[in-house]
Amino acid sequence: MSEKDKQFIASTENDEAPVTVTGEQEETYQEMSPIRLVMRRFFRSKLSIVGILMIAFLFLFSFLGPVIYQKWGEETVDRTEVSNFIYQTYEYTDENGNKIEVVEQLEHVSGINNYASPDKEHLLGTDDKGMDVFVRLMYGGRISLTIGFIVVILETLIGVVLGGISGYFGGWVDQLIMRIVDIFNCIPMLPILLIASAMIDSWNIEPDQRIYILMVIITIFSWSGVARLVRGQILSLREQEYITATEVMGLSIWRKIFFHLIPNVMPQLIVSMTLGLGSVILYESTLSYLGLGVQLPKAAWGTMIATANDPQVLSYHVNMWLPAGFMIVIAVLGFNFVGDGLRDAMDPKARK
Amino acid sequence: MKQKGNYLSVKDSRAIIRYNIKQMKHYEAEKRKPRTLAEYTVPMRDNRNLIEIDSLKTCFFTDNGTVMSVNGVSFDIPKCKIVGVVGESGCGKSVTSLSIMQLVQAPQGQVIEGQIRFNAGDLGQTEDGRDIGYDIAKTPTAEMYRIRGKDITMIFQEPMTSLNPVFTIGYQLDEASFIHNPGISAEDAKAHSIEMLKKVGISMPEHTYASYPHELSGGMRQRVMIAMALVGDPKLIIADEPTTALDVTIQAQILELLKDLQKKQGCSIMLITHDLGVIAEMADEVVVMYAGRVIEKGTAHDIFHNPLHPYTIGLQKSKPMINSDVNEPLYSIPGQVPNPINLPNSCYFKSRCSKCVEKCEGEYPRGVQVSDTHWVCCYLYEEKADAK
Amino acid sequence: MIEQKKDNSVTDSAPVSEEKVTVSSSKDVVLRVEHLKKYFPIATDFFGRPTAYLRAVDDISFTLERGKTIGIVGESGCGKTTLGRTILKLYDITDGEIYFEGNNITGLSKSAMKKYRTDMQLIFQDPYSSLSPRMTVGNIIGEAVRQHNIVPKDEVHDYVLDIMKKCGLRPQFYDRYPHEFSGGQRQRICIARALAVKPKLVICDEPVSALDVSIQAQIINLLKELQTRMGLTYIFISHDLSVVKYITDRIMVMYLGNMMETGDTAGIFRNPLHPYTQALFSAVPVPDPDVKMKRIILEGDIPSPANPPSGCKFHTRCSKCMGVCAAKAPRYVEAEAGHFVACHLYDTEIMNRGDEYDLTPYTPPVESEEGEKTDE
Repeated sequence: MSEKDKQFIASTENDEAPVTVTGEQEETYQEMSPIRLVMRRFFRSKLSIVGILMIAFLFLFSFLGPVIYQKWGEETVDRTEVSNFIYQTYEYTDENGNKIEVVEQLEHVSGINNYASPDKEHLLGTDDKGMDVFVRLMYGGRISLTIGFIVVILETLIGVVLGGISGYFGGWVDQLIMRIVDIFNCIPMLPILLIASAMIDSWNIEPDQRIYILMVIITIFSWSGVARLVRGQILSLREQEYITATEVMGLSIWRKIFFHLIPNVMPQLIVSMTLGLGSVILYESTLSYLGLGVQLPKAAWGTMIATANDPQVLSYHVNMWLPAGFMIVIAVLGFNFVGDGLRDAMDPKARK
Repeated sequence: MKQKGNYLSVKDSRAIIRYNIKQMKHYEAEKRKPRTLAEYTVPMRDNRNLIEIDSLKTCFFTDNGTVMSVNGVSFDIPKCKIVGVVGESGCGKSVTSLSIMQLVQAPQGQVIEGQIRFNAGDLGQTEDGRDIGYDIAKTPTAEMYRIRGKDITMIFQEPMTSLNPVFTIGYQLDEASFIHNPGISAEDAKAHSIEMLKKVGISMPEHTYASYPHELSGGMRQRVMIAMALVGDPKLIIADEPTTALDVTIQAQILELLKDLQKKQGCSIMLITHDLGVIAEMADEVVVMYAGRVIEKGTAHDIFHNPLHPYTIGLQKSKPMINSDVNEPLYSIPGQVPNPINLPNSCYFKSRCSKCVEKCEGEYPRGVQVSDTHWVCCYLYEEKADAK
Repeated sequence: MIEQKKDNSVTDSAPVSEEKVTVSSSKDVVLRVEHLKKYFPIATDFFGRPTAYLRAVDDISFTLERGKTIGIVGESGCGKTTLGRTILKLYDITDGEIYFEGNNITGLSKSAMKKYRTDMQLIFQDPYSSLSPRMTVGNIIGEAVRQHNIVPKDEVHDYVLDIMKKCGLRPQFYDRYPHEFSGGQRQRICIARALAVKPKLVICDEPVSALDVSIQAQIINLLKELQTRMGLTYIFISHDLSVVKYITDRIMVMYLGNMMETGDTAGIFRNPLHPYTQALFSAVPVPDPDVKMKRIILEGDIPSPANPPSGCKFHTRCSKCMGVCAAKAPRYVEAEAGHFVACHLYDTEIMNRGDEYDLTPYTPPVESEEGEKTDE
């Protein structure tokens, strides 16, 4: 170790330090801090690195993408005139029994460049409204990720506060909160969301604000899992002696909960948040697909997939819906990989 | 003041992991190789010994580096004797016993060198009249299943967790009988189990036979563990801190019982403990370990009346005794046990030693046979031996 | 059982009342515990009213002078840890009184208790679970100092370093996390944390049981030295008699929540009176192969505190058990000056009245296993 240490040892010998100073030898401890240890274990797993790459790609694509690729806006419709030739075939049978085919060529000039195939102009083509699929994919990512993060943060906040109170105080408070959690757990989420969306429809709200309401609704129905997790953790932490020590020290309840209990729940919380992100994105997409979430002209992956409801689009314009589906897969898989990796890294006992 | 330099760098860490994987693969492959009987049997050095451990090295490949838990340990366990292994936590005493049982946590833990010769008595003799024994370090796992539990058994520290809570005591005892004597009838097994329970001083064996582990107290559970160890009529019982989790009055009962049984059964006991009192009470021969090495061994008399190694002396002085003077401050060995990773090739105790001489800076002392029974690994005595 | 106690309470309180007279006049009594009881309910009826109790601490009384150490000795399940935590008021008190520096703290609410929190501290057995893994050493030690304004805010850092030095911790450790330390050093951190709030009374709950022998000696010496330097008063809870001998002035031997024997450490070690104390002493292995002590090996196991034996709680395992022992709980007898023992053998009143009490040797029926079964 450094000279400083040696100096210290020397100085303790001089002034009247306690006799029992251990005369400690230089430690060769090479232990890492918990965070470093977790990071190291995390990056050892290949899947979690894949997950990180997926998420990084998503973020760059959705938030940086529209800044760089400004050719089209989210809601700009490509109004270049496109002329298509429509061929119509008529068949006749003359008196001799010969079949005669007449092909009529009609020039159809459209003011909107819709149903375009991928080309230089539109990297992934355009949709039925003539909006650029590639650009809308980026904006859809923004919405999905934003909703995901805000919802997860909100549900974690509520869950930590309620779960913390429940676990720390116990007794009837615990009973009350846990019964509320039970009630929320047994309400089926999807039907409730459908009803809520129908109600919001009747209020005639701007599409922008609709997103916020959506977030609140998803939050209300998903905090209960976090609360239960936090409560369980706090119950087991309370048995630890360092929590008894805080009691003996006479620390305030506020300090006990936020400086001693919550930091020790953090690992589990981070894991549950990461895994939660994937499922929230899935929910948002489902709702948008059903036409209840983000509404046109706002872009969302779910609404983009919804175009596949048209059999024509499903079979002939794969470029319109497949990329969105692919993005959802990337997002959910990415967050789940990272979440699993974090869980394994933070709880080494769970492996092997 | 936070010393970042103390941590392993990412590069080092990667190198360690790569090295570990390579080593583990190597030793695991080594284990899977088919071996003929001749390859894993060796003649014993002395027919009177049950176990001869010869420069055993067991290491663990951890993420922070290779830990030499057992670093060249050699000692013998004679037949019908109690050998006490004493040392502080992390000195490798438990790993030594696990190596004998071939129960070292693989693939991280591997026996990399040395022999453990076990005189099972069923392999005949060499031409010059020496018994042939198994070399446990090389014995295939399938063969080991036969030895483990029957010839060598183990009693663990935690009687609370070493019994399966969902089965009755009787079921667990019978199970052991079935394994060691295939073909035994259920009635015979039960009779045998009850006899074992009687042997370990349980007053109502039939009642205990039908009860579940949670219904018994700690002392009773440890008795049941001992009964279970006796089912196969073992030649060696390894008792790993058998009384640490028990109260003093119960500890006295269990120690008395172990001693009694050892005499009756004529088996050997390897008693692992950190409590010098227990060792003095029980052991015929004592092995003192420190940081993976044997530093002193001899008869109980040698170790307790004529301790030579400064660590042994310090250990005895720092143990508060019920019949000693209270007014003097307790002697304490300064410092801590060294970190087991990358230990230098010099005496591991030198930084805590009060009798350090210049020579101690040199390489690890090779050890001196002070008397017929007494061996110590310290430069202080090497000089004297050399002078003679 | 309780009723019996109450009947005898006049004579039972003998040790306390006498000491009260002699000691309470001098102001140096830090802690006085009178007839402390802590029962845990183990069974409740339909309305949640407890119907059966586990008597963890049953009628314990003692006084503790400043700068002295009392050792509480006993086997697991004897209630010594519960006693320590009940004194700290971590548990509600079932019955009895606790006086801290002459103030009755028995009925104080949690907030009123805050005032006394810094005066009484606890050192735990397990140095691994008693330190928060996500705080640095400096924060662990300094946290309560800041909370209670022990020193002005800007001096906290220096103050913590000073305490660390006193406990044999180097200043470099200030920013490190507990996981970087070995058991002995962690225990030093625990001691530093307890002493940083300038306590008057420190309850040491088996502080060295989890440590290696050579580290044990270091910690015992440190505790002793800090006591003389800082004028601390200790309650030292341990099952290890040899350790207790080194650090205590007085000893209290507990068995199943009851006090069996109490007196000067030297006196008890020289002349243990209670058969349980004698057995306890003889059970400690001596590190000398030639000393073969006459062992008094106790039969059987410790009965469950939920279903303790009648009369003297020790009578089921006692080698000198008499008929009266199963029937009548013994009183505290002052066999020597300041040396009290709860055993009929030393109660002349009972021993002299063989006509009234059954003094013939008595072997309690073997029912320990059955008894245990019904408890669980």
